[in-house]
Amino acid sequence: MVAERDAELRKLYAEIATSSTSHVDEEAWARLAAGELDAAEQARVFEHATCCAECGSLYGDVTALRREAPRLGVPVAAPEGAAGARPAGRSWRAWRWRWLPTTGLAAAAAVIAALWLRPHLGPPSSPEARPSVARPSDASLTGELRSGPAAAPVPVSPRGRTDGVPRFRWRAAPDARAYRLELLSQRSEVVWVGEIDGTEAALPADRAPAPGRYRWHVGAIPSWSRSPVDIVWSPLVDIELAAAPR
Amino acid sequence: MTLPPEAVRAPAGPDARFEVLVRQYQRLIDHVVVRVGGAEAGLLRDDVRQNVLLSIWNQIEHKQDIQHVASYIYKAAVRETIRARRREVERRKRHEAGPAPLRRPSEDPHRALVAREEAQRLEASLAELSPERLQAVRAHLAGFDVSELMTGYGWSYQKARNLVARGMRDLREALRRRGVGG
Repeated sequence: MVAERDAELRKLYAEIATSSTSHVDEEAWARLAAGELDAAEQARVFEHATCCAECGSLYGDVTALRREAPRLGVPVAAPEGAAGARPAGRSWRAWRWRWLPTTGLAAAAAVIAALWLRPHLGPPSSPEARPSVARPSDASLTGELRSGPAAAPVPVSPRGRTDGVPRFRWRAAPDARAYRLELLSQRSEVVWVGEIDGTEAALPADRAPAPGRYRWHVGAIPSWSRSPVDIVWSPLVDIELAAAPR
Repeated sequence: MTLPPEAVRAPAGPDARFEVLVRQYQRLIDHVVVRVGGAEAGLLRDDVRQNVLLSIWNQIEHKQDIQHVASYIYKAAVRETIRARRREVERRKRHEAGPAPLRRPSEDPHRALVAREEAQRLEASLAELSPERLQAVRAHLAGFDVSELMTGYGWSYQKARNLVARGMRDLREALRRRGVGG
């Protein structure tokens, strides 16, 4: 009985909660998604969300996203506990990404166009020649961010700590005409990159990277593709290169 | 097999770094769009991708540091998705704007009047509640559960439950005085 009455009241309340003309701004939503609002700011956003249907709907979406953020590789402050208070500042590791000089906004637009707009124009070969390589789509968007699609090559070695010059091996992906191997620093800077026909590669001894932690992945270049965006990447593998024995 | 020397480029230039960045984070951006873009997510995706990338390039252009790359891109994607979602809502409103019908064909005028009056009484009754009970009741009526109240307002479980229960009791009483409900 009470539940039924509450349902009626909720319907009635929805009528008066739809008329809000001011809304929470985008920056506040972004900070909420990143867990950066302090308790008072969060309370203000939540209070508005309870009185405004549009922001109420967004609040649910944004807080759901915040819960998923760690799985997506985004460090966010832990959701508030029962007390809701969070210490100020950020608790995650404070690494920095220093940007290199660039050639300008025109170059940016060109790269963006090449990487993202081109797939919408269709692949260069005929559709029937296209292999069934997984490509970004709505269906794949909600999957694990860092796990590769089904047609990605599978890294075999090295994994973890490795001595000397690393030799990279992976399991083949169907319909790949070649592979691209990338060795990245912990800051995602490209240390080595190369195209390989087979499923094994070793870095030249004279270009061996310094000892330290790195990540590598290998991408299958589909036989029909000429664009880097079509490469189907494996998950990243963490390795630690030890100093070469003397 | 050893990498052919011409295939090895170290250190890579900014374009290559940007390419890596794009590949690494495009699914993050797309995921944010799907989560926050609502029913229009499919329409918004390309706009959001480009705007997020342009904002990154602006940072590069001004040689500014970006701390926490994943967080930066994630927040930019949330901002841009919400902007795009609002633009789309506005566009639809403008598109649908036209001479408003005097009343919707299915709407019973008597029922509409009763609903309007009940809504006014609900607003008046809500205005009688103490501030915290009002917050709890509004959240409850908006469909948020106790755990969301705890997170939203920083209340304990007991406090959130009690405020909802007592607030709803006060609200029903105020509504009864105004002739709404039994």
